[in-house]
Amino acid sequence: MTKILSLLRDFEMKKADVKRRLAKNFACFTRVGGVGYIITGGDEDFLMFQSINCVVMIIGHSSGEIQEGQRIVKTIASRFAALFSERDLHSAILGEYLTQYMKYDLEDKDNSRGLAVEFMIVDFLGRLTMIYFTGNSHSFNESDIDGKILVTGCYDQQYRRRVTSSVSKSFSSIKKPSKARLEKAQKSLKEDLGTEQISILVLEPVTTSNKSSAEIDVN
Amino acid sequence: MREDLLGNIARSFVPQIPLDRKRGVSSKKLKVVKSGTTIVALQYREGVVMAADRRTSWGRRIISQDTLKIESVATYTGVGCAGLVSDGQYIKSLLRQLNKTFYLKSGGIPLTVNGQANYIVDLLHTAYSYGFPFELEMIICGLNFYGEFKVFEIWEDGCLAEKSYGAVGSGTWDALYVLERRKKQINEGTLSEEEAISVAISAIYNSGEHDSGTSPVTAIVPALAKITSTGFEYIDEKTVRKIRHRVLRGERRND
Repeated sequence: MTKILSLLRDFEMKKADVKRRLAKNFACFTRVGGVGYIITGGDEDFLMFQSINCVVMIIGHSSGEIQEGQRIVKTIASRFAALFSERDLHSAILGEYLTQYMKYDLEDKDNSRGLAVEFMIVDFLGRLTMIYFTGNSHSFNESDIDGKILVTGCYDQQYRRRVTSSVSKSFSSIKKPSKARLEKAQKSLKEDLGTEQISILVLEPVTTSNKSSAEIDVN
Repeated sequence: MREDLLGNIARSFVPQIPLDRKRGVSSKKLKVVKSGTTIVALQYREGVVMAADRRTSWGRRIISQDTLKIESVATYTGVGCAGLVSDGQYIKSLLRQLNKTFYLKSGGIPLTVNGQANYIVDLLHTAYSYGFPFELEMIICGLNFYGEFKVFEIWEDGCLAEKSYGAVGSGTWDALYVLERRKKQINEGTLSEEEAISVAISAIYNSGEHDSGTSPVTAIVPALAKITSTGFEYIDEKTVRKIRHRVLRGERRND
């Protein structure tokens, strides 16, 4: 009984530690006027992985952990491409392996610290999947989240409220994305949140059936 | 341990052959048995046509004259196997299982034909290098999610060839002789459905004339199927009979 309690205590401590480390690192998704935006920010810059079908944004506490996250995604992608084909790597499949890995990583009692990394995946069908450090995941259809703001990371509740209100304030006026408008939004986010690391990814509506049209406008 | 999760991606889709339990022998000592069959596939304007003779033989004995050698393994994928029947059936059931699992895991997106072909090639090559080759040749073709039609030839050693037309089985060379005469039109994708069916029947006819393992088109109506944007579909016998009649009339005139 004592052993079980000690394991549970360790597990909870590990969770709390990761939450603490991810307190001010975030990736959030918003959709205004039919255009999706992913905004990332925090202590470290994000990393991105792009395949034929999807774009994965990786946020985390330190650059080492973010790179570890990218390594996992690359491993899954390369093994999958070798077994089937690169075109068969869809967001749902990538999400499944990532959730398994993150869950196992957190529940691994031999590993004293959990991996402080979270993922946001957008595919060419307009599906948004968020993978949390616990191994939990949520999927949404991009079109169903007009006006809402979805956030991964950012476990400091007060900071999270600041992030959502700042994003909402900065993006509500953008009807059509342009470099100047996005730079203005980026500047206002930097001032509101007191961080230098704010990146904005613009997800334009898909025009061709076989391409995920994502591009970074402002970094 | 965590890395094992990533290493077992293949196992999470379909069970792997437990080759590690057996001790492999040199594949050079094994002689692959080839049974008589002709299966052809070719692309046309709206999709892919597959055709096969209907004879199953075991050595010199004819077991059946109405075997369906072309089958669908997914909505948009057709497979034709020549060789050992049991191996063909096993591969087809594996492909069906794979397609269903993938469809569920990907949230309703089918596995591409390239993905299915790569998976089978990997399996065949592993079995071959362990000294337990599958005794079959196959054609796998269909429509990818992205709107491209594909035809792949796969051999027992895990060799893969992507083509716009292909033939497998003992009557391959006779069938290819016919297909290659229409090579340009097939590659350009200008054949109509009826023309494609005629070419396929003609190829099976030519094989049946020269290969004892292929049923003669004059006596037995070959099985034909098409894969279009609406999916895999067998071509009804009445249509095949009508076109066969025309093809045979043309062949006799040539004689």
